[in-house]
Amino acid sequence: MFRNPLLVTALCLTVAVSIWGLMDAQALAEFAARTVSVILRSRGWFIMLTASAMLIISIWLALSRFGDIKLGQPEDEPEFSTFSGMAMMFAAGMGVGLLFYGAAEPISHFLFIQDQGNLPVHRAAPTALFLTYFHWGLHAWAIYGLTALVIAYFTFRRQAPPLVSSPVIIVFGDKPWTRTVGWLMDLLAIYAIAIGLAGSIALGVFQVEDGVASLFHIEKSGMGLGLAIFVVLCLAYILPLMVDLSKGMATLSNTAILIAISLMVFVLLVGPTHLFMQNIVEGFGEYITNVLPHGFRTYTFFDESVGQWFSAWTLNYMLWWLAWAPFVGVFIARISKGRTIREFILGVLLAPTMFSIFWFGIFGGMGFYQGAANQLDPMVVQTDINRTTFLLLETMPLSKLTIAATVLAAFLFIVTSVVSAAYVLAMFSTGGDQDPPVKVKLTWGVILGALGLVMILSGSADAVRQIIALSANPFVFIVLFLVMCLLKALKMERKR
Amino acid sequence: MENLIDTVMNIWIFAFIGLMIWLYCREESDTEEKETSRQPDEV
Repeated sequence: MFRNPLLVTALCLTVAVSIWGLMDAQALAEFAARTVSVILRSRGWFIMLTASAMLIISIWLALSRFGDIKLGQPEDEPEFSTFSGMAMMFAAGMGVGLLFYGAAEPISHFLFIQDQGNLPVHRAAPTALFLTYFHWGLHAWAIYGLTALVIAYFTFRRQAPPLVSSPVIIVFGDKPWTRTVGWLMDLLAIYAIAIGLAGSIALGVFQVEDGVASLFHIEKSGMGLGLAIFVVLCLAYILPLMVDLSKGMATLSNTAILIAISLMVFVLLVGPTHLFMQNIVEGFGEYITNVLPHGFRTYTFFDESVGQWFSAWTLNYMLWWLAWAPFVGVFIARISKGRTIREFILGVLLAPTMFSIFWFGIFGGMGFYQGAANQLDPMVVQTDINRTTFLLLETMPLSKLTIAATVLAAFLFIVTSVVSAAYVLAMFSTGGDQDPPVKVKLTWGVILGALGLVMILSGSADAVRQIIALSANPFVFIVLFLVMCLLKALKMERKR
Repeated sequence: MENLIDTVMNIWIFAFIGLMIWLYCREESDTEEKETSRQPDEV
C-alpha cells in the first residue's frame, strides 16, 4: 500500500491539513477565508463563465448528433433502474445539503434582499427563491453531469480506468507530460473529494446535533453532543467499509431519498398547499426565463455588501459543485452505462433540477409563510442557521416524527456519502482498481473522519464552506481540461 | 500588492484558456490515440 506514490502523497496532504486543523481549527478557517476571498475576487468572473459554459456545452451535446453516441458497447444495458440511479445520484450530490438549506437558504436571501431595500416583499420572496433555484439547479447539475459524462465516455466507450487522468492519457497519448499532468489531476481530485466530503460530514453532524437537541430538549453547550454524534457516525460507517455493500448502499440511499420525499410531500399537504404550488409555478417560470442570463451575472457595479454576498453564496456554491464533481461524477457515470449521451444529459439536468425546484419551493415557501405568520423568526438563519429546518418543522403537526425522520435521513445521507467516498478515493488512489483493498478503504475512512472532525471543530457552516472552497479552486481548471478532452475525443471519433 | 496578485491570477487564467484552445486545435497522431484506447465499432 505504501509503495504507491500517489496514495502516499494524497495521504500526506490530507493528514497535514487534518493535523493543522486539529491543532488550530480557527487558524485554518481564517486562512481559508482570507485566501478564498482573494481567489473569488480575482477569479469570480471565470468561475461563473465556467459554470455557464458547462451548461451550454451540456445542452449542445444533448441536442447535437453526438447525443446519439451510446456510453458503452452496443450490447450494454443500464445497470440500475432509473429511480435507483436518480436516488444514488441525488444522495451523493446534494443529500444533506437539501435538508440543511431547504428553508434556511431562501429565508437568508430574502433577508439580504430586504436589507438592501431594493425590492418589496412580493418581489423579494420570488427573487430569493430564484437565487436558491439557481444555486441548486441546472448549473450545479451541468457541472456534475458533464464531469460524469467525461468519466463515463472514457470508461465505458474507451475502456479506460475510471480515473480523472484517463481522458488526458487517452486523447494525447501515453507521454511523460500526460503522465505528470494526469498524476497531478488524480492527486488534486483525491484532495478535493476528501475535503469536500469532510465538509459534508460536518454539515450533517451540525444538522443531526440540532435535530437531536430539538427532539430531546437538550441544551447545547460546547461540542459534547456534536462529538458524540460524530463517534456514532464513525462506528456506523466503519462496518460497511469492510464488506462489499454496493447493493446495500443503493438501498440506504433509496431509503434516505424516500424519507426526504415523504417529508416534502408531508409539508406540501399539511401546509398551505395552494400557496406552495403558486410559489413553485411562479418560481419555475422565473427560473426558466432568467437562468441562462443569470449565469453570466457577476454583480460588477453593486456595492461591497452585494459583492460579499455573491462570493459567500453563488461563487461558493459553484466551487462546491466543482469540488464534488469527480466524486459524484463517478457515481453518475455508473448509472449512465448503456444509455446515450442525450438520455444521460437530459436525465441528469432535468430530473434533479425539477426536484430542487419542488423542494425549495415547498420548504422555502413554508419558511416565508410561517415567518409572515410570526410562527418562525426569520432571523434564525443569522443566529443559528443549523436549527432552521427543525424550528420550521416544530411549527407543524407531528413535529417529533418529522424531526426524527429528518435526523434519520441526514444520518443515512452522511453514512452513504462517507462509504461511497472512501470507495471512490480508494479506487482513485490505486490506479482505478474497481475492487480496492479493504485496508485502503479503511485508511480513507479514518482520514475522512479526521478531516470531518477538523471541520466540526472549526465550529460553523461558514468556516466549513470556506475550507471546501479553498480545496476546490484548482478543480475549475481540471474540469475544463476534462471537458476539452471529451470534445476533442468526440471530434476525433467523428473524423473516423 | 493587491493589484499585482489580481493581475497574476488573471494572467494565469488567460494562459490556461490559450493552452486549452491550442490543445484542442492541435492535430494528434491517430496511431497514438488508437494505441491507448479501444473503441466500439458502432456509433
